[in-house]
Amino acid sequence: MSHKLLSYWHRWGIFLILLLPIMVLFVVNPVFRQPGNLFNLWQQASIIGVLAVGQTLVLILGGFDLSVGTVAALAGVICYLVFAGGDGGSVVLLGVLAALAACAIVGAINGILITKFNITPLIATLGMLSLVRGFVLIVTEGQLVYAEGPGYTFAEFLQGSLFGMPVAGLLFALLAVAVALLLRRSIFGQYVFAIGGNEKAALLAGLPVVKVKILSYALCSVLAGVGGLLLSSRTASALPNAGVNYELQAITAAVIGGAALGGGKGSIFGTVLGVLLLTAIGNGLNLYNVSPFWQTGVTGLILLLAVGFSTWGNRDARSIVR
Amino acid sequence: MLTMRGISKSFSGVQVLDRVDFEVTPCEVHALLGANGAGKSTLIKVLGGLYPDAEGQTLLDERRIDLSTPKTALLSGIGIVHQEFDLVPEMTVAENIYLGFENLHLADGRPLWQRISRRKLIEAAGALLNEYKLGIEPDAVVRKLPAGAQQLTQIARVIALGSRVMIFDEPTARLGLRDRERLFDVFATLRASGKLIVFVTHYLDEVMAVADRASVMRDGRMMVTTQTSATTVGELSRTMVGSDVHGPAKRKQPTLGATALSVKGLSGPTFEDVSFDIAGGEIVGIVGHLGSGRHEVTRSIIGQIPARGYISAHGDAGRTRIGFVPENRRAEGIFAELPVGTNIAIGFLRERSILSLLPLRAMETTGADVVGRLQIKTAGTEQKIGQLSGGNQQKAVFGREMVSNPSLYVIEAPTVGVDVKAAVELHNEIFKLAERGSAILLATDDLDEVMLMADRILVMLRGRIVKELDTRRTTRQDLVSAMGAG
Repeated sequence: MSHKLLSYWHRWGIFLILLLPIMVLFVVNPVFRQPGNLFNLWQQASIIGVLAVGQTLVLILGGFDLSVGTVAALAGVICYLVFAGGDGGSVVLLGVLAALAACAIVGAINGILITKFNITPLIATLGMLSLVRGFVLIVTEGQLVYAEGPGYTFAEFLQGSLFGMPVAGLLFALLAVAVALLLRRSIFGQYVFAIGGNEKAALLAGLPVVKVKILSYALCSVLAGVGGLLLSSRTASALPNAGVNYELQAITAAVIGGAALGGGKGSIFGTVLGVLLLTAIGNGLNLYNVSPFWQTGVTGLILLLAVGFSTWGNRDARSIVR
Repeated sequence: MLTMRGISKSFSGVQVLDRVDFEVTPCEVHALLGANGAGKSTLIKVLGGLYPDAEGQTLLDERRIDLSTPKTALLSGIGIVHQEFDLVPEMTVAENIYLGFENLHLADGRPLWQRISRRKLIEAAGALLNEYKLGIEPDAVVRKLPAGAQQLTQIARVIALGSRVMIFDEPTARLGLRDRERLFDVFATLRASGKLIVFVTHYLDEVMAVADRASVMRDGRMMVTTQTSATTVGELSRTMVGSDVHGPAKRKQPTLGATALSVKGLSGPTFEDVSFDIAGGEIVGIVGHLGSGRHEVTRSIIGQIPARGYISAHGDAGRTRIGFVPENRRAEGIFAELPVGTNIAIGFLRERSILSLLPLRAMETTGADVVGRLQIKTAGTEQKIGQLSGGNQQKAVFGREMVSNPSLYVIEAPTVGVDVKAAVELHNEIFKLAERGSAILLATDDLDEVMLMADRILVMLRGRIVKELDTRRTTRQDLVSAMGAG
């Protein structure tokens, strides 16, 4: 196989392998290809999708964020506590803003721990994962928080449809396009790629490395918060132990999409494809009543496959560079 | 005798080695020369067992040897000191030298090295380091050693292997003068014991000083093999680049402007009470062996290493910007995955942008302008910079700093790992910067370079500036003795 073909295989092979069972499903299973199911699929994909978009940002930067699952739970809980505490339409705006602001603070703390205290992203965000989960469990006393009135209407709206398309799915699409533009067309985006590619050179070239990192982690957390709002709107209530293992799925989707764990590489387009494929496979397993226990295993397997595709045979990729 | 015959290798249809013949005899230091991209590194990787699909034959002492994997190459008697560091930073020098030797078995099944106690390991390493006078403690942790000592550790590892053929791929690029002398003494010892030594370098003066024969490659072909006593530096460099090298324009008498950089009583971790001024339009060299504090002084001027004292850089209109070209291009200079254009523009994005949007047009025109002005060989500003040769990468790093038109440049080792032609072009570019009124601090280990470029030379020794020399009234010999090596 020529080198060019081989490098295409490394980049896109995982898509082909994941696309194959989905295409088979599409052909053999009439339920799978029903418009109603495709609508559901898009809606389901949007939660992990928003998380994965944020994750892509910090992966390109050369880090990663394990706390996104619990941050999603935090957003839901704060939002619904505000909903439960008041009535009138303004409570919706207040709840959403309070939730996203809390997420931004958590993300900024992640960034500060990583840049100012030199804690590796693994430990910093792992600690934050546990810290935030503890906080959420304490304030809710482990109980579910639910909304009535305007909060309930808001949840219904998020789960509803607009022009025949799911609102949650449209929001996901909008945020994905916005972050893609941010990465490709703004200075901030160029700095993210530069810092992830060579942090030392970025420092010496005078780029605002610390600022960009803190902002990126904050943005990643805010997106996780949006995911949390979508998640809680499904039942118009927030569970303190929601979002467990979502970080795994978000990272998997981004890695399928070509984001490199060492930083400097990745694209929102690839991540969105990764999310859709991952969700479609889960959806297919659901249709055949495969237990959720198996689904977790399958996600892990897909992650290993995806990483394997980008690194296996890397020696060939290196040897091209003289 | 090592004989390579008809070695060919291509990558994605590009012929990088074309029927290369290469021969090294025992008791010989054989220099392998060529501009960047000539095929030297590929030829060495073939010997190292990294390209089993290369065509041609390799014989050692009339027998074919197995170059299908790095391990078989090693066991066939090929030892290579690679250009990149491949040491474990957290382990000691001794552990690094013997790392993995327990798993190596000679053709007859005997282990190359018996597992021994930690104490004996350090003794063995100590004896080896002493015998070759490398000046490194065997129980030192590699991470804490300066770059030169790390390079020597890598060299010690290959000596310990006892390979019949020893290949040194640009070993001097990271070495200070004293360590360089140590390495050449090692060459002499190895040569006397009958080893075959291949020495890859860009420095032709080193070739004339230590090599018995030299082979010159160009565009994947072997051009010539000659006795060094029967050739000259000029002849070798002509063969390397294929045409006459135009020497750099002569340095004109500088027109000095106002003081651009003033350093007073600067003290830091490895240096003390350093003071000097540089005027606009002046090129000042700063030299010193590894550990003299030269590197740290340079890095504290650009603000990377904290120091006490007084540094003031005066720019035009109250704004100062220091253009900095780091010595370690790959690690500190370029963003390998980003396009050439972005690498050039990354520094000025904030100034030219509206609403934080990328100034795409300014990036394109500036990138194209710099590529044209510095004659950077690239498929276009969209090509990833990591795919360019070292010389062209270096030009792009220069270009990035030039865009903001700083009043002061701090330039470290501008031509390390750069081919002869690109080096001349870079030197001319530095002259032009000075003529336009910029002050230049040039930190380099290349004494010919500093003699050629600088108006004044600051010599550092043990953390202090011990001498300031006027280049017009100084010989290379004066410089060497001032540095404490002579």
